Amino acid sequence: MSELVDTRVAAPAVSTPGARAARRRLPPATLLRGGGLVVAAILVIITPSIAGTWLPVVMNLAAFAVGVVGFNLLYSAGQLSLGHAFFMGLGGFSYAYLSGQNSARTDGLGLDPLLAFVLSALLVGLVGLAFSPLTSRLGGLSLAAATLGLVFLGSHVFGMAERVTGGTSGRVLESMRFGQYELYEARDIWYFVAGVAALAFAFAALISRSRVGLALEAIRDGEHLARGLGINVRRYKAQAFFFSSVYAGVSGILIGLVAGVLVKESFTLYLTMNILMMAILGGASALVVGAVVGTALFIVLPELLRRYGDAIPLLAPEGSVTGLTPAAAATYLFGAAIILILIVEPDGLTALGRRARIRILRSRPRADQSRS
Amino acid sequence: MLMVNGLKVTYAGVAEGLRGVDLTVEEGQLVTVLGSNGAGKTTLLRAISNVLNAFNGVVTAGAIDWDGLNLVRTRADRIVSRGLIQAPEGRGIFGGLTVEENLRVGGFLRSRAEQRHQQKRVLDLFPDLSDRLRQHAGLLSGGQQQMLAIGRALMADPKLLLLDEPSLGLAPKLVDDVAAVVQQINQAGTTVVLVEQNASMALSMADYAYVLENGRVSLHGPGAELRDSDEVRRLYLGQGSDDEPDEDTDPVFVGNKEQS
Amino acid sequence: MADLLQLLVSGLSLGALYGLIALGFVIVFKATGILNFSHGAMLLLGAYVVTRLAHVNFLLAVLAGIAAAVALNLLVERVLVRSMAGRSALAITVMTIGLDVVLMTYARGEINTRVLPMGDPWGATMVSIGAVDIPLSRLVALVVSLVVVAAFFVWFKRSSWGVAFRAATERRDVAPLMGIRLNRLSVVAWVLAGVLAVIAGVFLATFPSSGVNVDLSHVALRAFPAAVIGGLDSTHGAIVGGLMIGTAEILAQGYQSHLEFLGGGFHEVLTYVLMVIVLWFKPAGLFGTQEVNRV
Ligand SMILES: Nc1ncnc2c1ncn2[C@@H]1O[C@H](COP(=O)(O)OP(=O)(O)OP(=O)(O)O)[C@@H](O)[C@H]1O
Ligand SMILES: [Mg+2]
Repeated sequence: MSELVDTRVAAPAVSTPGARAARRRLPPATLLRGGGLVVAAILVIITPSIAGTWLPVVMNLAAFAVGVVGFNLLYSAGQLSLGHAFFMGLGGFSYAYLSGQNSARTDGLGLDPLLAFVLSALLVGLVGLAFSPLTSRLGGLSLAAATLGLVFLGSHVFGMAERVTGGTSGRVLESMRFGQYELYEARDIWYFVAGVAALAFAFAALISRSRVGLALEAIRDGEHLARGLGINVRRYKAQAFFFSSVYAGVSGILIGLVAGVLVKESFTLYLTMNILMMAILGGASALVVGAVVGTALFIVLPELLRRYGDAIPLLAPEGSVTGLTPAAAATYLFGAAIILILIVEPDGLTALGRRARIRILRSRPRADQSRS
Repeated sequence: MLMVNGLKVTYAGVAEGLRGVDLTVEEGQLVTVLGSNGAGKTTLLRAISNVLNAFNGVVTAGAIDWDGLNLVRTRADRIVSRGLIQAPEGRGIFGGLTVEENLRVGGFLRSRAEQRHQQKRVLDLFPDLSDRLRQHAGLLSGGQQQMLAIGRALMADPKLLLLDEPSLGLAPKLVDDVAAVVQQINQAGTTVVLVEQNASMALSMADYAYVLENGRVSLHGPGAELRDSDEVRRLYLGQGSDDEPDEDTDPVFVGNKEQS
Repeated sequence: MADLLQLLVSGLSLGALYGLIALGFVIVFKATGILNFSHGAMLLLGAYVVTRLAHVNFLLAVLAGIAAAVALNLLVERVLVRSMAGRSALAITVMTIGLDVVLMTYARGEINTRVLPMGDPWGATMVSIGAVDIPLSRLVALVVSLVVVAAFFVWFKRSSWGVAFRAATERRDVAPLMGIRLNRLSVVAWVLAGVLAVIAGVFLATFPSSGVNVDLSHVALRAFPAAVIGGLDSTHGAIVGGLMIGTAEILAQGYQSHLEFLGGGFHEVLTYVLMVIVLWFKPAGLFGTQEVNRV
């Protein structure tokens, strides 16, 4: 409900005469967006040459951001799903099984990796749909309860299916292949991951502008209200859950492709918490931009601390038993940041940025007036 | 004495609840506030009890003073403990609680001894309730629920009692009962502000009456005079009149055109 | 038969502890409309304080643990929750997840991989009742939880604050007109939740458990389904749900050999299976009055 109020408060601010005048002088939003896309495309292309040792980090960023977008799809509709770790693991291990070979430790169907990729994503979506009689009936908070259960059940199932997950030592993944061309160089993997992520982002942007997106927005502002508007709340919630699961599944596969190996212990409640923190940091209402910003912060900061932690006096070296390790320091920072963000601006850093921009826009025309 | 001066209330930063209301209630009086749907009657009572914040409303201008207490800046529970009690619109009884528990909540800020004393008084006034003390309040009939709502308010031994449309949804016979009870409470020494849409009932017993329209007082005067006023008869009593209005006996007519 | 009886007693004992934890979830939910995901971390930190002071005097240590958790919860309520007044329940709930992350990072730093003994006076003493041998600590846990639950319900049903609490959860808009301060109720709820969590935490870490380690907060999270199964807005539902899942868990553990097809350690996820099943058929839980749609 508070979001409803927030938008009302923000709306007049944008449409004050001053802000409108200032906006007219800025390049039209579409131009800006187009420019942004071009810059992003160029960045994607040159990343392998400029990233250096940061390339794996950037790859992880893209892979995780896809999952965070999936989380945002639900969260921005007021639905808190904690089942992300489960769906990510399901996607990753399905791909491992479908594309993998039989061996002493593991089973596999040996399908073409690309086909396996598509099938795994669909499978995760179907599992998401299978739960929809449950999830679409539950509101924001009991959805959190139910999906929390899913994570623990998922861990258990992954543990049982040793010949799929490879047990405690994990399972090496088949590389992605296009015909004979196998993607095992970091550069090639990056292009694939970035390509998939770009498609996923574009599609998410489409969803949010479609009827589904509008319906979800209405649902966030109040399910009863939305029902009153003739919106089939359950159907749209089921759809949102479907898409969200698919995104999680794809993210799981990408993470596996980047790492080359998947371990079932990665897909516990911690992963869900991490995804949630990435989402909140960036701001779930900015579906894609928020996900990228939040994920970037979440993945880059610990890496920075790990690499340059020596220069920071308080930090103990990574892996030490006593003292503040870089990982712990980062977790403290993020936990505190989440709390602070939710208190100050529940829509995350991107919304803070938007607010700052509005303030700048508002202050500018005043200067104009004094001149005239 | 309750004094409301130039009171303006805004909801959610946009919707105007009140646009400048002046109103005075002398001690011991029974004052009624009339007005059609959305006129701002409930908003006025919420402002007096200082519970607007729960409805996303704020007092943007004006003052409310009750015996030297600035109600705009006094916490709701302090207002209640001083003896200014409101029985809200739609009765607002706690359906999951028993009748007795509802009464206990009404006397929440009073001592056990006071509660016992008041409960006796309430049950004397509403004998219907004494057989049903252990019953869930949600199972009471509409009339009984209204009695419970008034009884619950009496549990705090009010000096000033605000009643928001106690006749709402009641059969004519029950409306008369409510009117009798309200009069009885007033005669026992409690000042009463009675918000009503049932103008004939309210005016028949009010010492003084205000008519709210669109967030402003459009008309006020002694109850009997207002009842005879043409304007009120036409708008609220459903009696048309062809006579020319008699300027001399007419109550103060404030008019609801933009004045500020 | 003796086996079954023994398991049932242990199950009820564990279930009563789950009930206490679940009650903490429910009370905070009723008072504020949020799910408190930092509950498990609070339990862990309270139990941790007890282990640090247990060598002085066990009872004093427990009181200190309770005081610590209560103080922390008070701080959380007054500073964090209150500053989010007016925000959606969802946002506040997610805030408690952030809080959990911070508290758990602290706990992990303090406790590390250690298992800290509770230092309770019962040790590994066993008592025989008829043909049944039961750890004394389980019996004490059962008795203490039952007493605490009984005390809670007497308070909840009879005291002015208890009645006010129930009134306010039913009509938040009307309660202030009766002189009830909703902020106060929220404080009361968080304080009670802290007390209940630490009492449960102490007994979860006594025999046959070997002490407090960081996973204790996960054990607490296993009680969360108890609250959901009973209905998040139902106090007695929390107790029933707790007894249900506690008994089910211990039975599944006791008859593990018959349940091998479900995988090792199935008893640890059984509570979540039960929760999903209950939610599937009753979205409001067994005794809940409303779906949890307050967003
Ligand atoms: N919670 C609220 N949020 C926004 N606007 C409100 C709220 N409550 C009342 N209003 C608006 O304030 C105005 C006055 O409402 P109020 O409830 O005081 O009227 P009333 O005279 O009590 O009407 P009724 O006889 O129907 O009870 C109305 O325009 C109403 O729409
Ligand atoms: Mg009204």
